[in-house]
Amino acid sequence: MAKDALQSAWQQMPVERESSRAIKSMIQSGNHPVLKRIRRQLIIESAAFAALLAVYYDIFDGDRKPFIANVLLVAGLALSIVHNLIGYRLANSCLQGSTLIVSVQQQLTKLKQYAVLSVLSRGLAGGCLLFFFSMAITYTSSKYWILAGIVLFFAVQLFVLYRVWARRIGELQQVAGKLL
Amino acid sequence: MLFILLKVKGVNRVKIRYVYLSHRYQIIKYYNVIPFLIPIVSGFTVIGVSGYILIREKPHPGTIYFYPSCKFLPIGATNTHIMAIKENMEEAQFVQLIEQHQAIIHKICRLYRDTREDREDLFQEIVCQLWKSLSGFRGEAQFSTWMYRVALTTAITIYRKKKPAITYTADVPDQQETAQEQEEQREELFRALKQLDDADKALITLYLEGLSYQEIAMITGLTETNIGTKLNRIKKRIQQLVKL
Repeated sequence: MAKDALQSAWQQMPVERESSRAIKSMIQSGNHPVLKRIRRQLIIESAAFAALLAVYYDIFDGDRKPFIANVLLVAGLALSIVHNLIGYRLANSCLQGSTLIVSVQQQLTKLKQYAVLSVLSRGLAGGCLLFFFSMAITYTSSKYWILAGIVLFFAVQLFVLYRVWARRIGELQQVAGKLL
Repeated sequence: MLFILLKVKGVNRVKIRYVYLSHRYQIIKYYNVIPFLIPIVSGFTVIGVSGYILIREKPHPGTIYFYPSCKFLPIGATNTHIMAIKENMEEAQFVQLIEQHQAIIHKICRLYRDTREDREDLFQEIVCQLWKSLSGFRGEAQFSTWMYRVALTTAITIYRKKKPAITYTADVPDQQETAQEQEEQREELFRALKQLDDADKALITLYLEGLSYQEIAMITGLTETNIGTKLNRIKKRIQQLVKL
């Protein structure tokens, strides 16, 4: 295969064309597909957490639970919102590396940090919720089984989340390794 | 009143030393620069070595301007050079540059994503990333060189949905010089390229674009020798998959 044949086949490849109007609308952050999805998720989750915080004291007997349980519930929900905000910031951050290798490594570092935060915040938020709702309950054997089921559900969720992050990081690590 | 801080970059960095301002603007303050002002017919040229100048638009009733009509003229620059940092660059200029270079972005999207929806998302992601990262472009290289780096990094690092199962055929079409045959050959080449891993795709893209080893080294951060070795291996792999 001649060098020029490959290059000319590539260079003659027909491609679509975007209008200047379409390109202009792309650089407006409101139209960014990923950011739009994250924003929507952020708004829905924040609204749900805010609604829960507004009613938990009356509906879920916050006044009858220990003070620390109330604090942990609020902290757990706040942590989830902070985690979402950091995710949004990460998706909105720009590439600063001077070369492809440096940029990929920087992104890998950011992704690892965010993955740790993601798993930790999900675990802590779940733990805080569980702690709050398991307070002031008179336990019977059936309630212990329910509690064990909930704990197992959270554990499986955390494991799945860990696996998703491990796969993403592994893929990027493989690219970084092959580039070097 | 619109106040805009313009940066005149240093000789050793971007080599921007001349700023042309029309009569619509007046200089308010200088920072770390001793400029020489040369009046010309429709404005004046500011010559400095480095530093900043603060300018403002002269009162102009009934008109609102969002960007100054100043031109930055880097020494030795070609039209493909981007001529200013983001704050000073009009959106229209950026859009124009993307329009000029959009073919390569489309090819990268096609190479790294399998579905139309994913390709459209990646195209927008790359354009957004270029716009956001524009302040990091220091004009030392051509705009296209910088664009390759940002576009490839975005394609590699941005999360993608799980790849759909695609079966690649090893059939080689007969060589006939018809448009349809050529199209089939191009498709064949693309199918072969898609079977490479992400790192190899990046290197071969730069090679196919006709960049020299030196330019590829500048974009990737690899040594020229390493690039040569890797490209030979990738080309042999493609040779096994397709014959042009």
